[in-house]
Amino acid sequence: MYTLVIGIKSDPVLQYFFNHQLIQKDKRVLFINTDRIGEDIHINTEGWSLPCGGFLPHDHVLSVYNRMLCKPVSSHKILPYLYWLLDDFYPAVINRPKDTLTNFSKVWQLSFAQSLGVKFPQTAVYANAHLRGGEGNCVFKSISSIRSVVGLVKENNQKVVHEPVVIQEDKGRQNIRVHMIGDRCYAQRIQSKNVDYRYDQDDIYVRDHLFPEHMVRQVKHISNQMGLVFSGVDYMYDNGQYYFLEINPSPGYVFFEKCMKGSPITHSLYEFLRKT
Amino acid sequence: MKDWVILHTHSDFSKQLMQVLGSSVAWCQDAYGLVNYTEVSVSFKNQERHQWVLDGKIISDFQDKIIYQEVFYKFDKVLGCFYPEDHEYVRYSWQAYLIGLFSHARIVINAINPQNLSVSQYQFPRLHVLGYKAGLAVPDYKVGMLCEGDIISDSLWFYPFSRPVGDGVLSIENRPGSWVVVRFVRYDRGFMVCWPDMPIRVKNSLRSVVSTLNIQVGEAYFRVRDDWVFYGVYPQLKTPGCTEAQLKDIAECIRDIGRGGIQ
Repeated sequence: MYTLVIGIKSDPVLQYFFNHQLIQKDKRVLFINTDRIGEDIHINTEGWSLPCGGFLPHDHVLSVYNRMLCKPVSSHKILPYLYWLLDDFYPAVINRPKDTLTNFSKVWQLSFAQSLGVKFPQTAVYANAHLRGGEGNCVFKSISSIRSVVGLVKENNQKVVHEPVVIQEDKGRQNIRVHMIGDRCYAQRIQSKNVDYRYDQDDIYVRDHLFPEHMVRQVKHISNQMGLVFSGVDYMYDNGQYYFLEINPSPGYVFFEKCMKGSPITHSLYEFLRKT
Repeated sequence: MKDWVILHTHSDFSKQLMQVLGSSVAWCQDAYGLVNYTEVSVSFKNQERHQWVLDGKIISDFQDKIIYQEVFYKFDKVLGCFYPEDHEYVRYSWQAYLIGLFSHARIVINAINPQNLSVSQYQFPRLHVLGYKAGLAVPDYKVGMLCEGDIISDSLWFYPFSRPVGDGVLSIENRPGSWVVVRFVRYDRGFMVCWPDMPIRVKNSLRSVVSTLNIQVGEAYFRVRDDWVFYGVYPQLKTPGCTEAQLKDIAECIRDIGRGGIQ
């Protein structure tokens, strides 16, 4: 039984994943480059024709690590069939496409979090509106999963919004990133002067964080409710309180794991994929 | 009681629905007006609250409202005021906002949520499994392998009246009989109205399929001779030829859903 890792060759997460000795040693882990589907990789109702000349029936697939984040270069007409296999057919998938869509809408995520009793910063959404000035100590961010831009309202000259935009209370610079894989939870604290630490090249400080048990339960609960086996959950930590920001169903975990001892996330991913 | 919100694209059906709903329509808006002129605000203070303002009119009690919408996939047509390179971002932003609104409203006809946005949702392989599990007769099919004598489709979203323009990708067994398009309105898990009516066994199975898909209105495709063979479902009234009387019947059934709620 085989494990498929599906995505594109230039994905840094996949490059990192395949560089790990665990994965390199295991010949049952196969890479499906979605840019090659319809060229030297073919898929049909029976299974996969692979570049090596082999054929892999669908019912020999044990598990899948799905990294299809963006439109492949050659979006072959058959590619949507792969989404069906991942959503409904293959027995274990990290994560199923239908569940990765839970971060399509931040307002939906917050509404869902609110229904679970999760605390988050004061949040508003505006469209076709003038910002009235009370948003000075807030950040703005895209409401959808594309153009993930975060900035301070007071540093932005534009005081009129047209498309829907999320405006959220600024809870400081103590970011908590939690990766959840199955039942395992890895929390880190990220300190940065930048409002969006992803773009902080110089002044960023990451260390393991002792995440309280009740918060671990909260992350598990949110992930389970959204059907996610693997997730990256972002919180802000302010005055002893954790504030939920969002849950990422396709976490680019490489940066975080490089700040950890060993490679526990890759190990957990591998264990889940092979022992599922 | 004014409890309906209609987000329309000037379709014949939305006009008929507005006529049937009459004074119970609280807000009626096309996609262009929503994207370009409607002031939207959402607050999560204590509880979620959505508000729209347009021309001095305000609506805010969406948690009590029933939404009929046909704009979700039509934003591309109303983004003329934005730079072309921003169109995808703006479209996604409005769709992301609407998904949040839909989860907050009392009822949404054919609700859209993140899970049913998946490209697999209405694909033939999925509908085939749902139909089979519900006890419907279904045709054999192949993906990526074309068989002589089959119906060939150039898309995995099979629609019996479209002609393939490119290479085939889906090959479906061509069962004998003629095409029958069945329009339906599903009230709840236990009751559905169909035009034309069909054998009770088939109707119950179709109701089970559309209950799983969580849709209230749409059309289903059958090949009919001795048996009714299921070829798919679409969550809109897509096929032309629906008479005004039929549209009115469908609109009246949808009005009744608003009165009774969806279970």
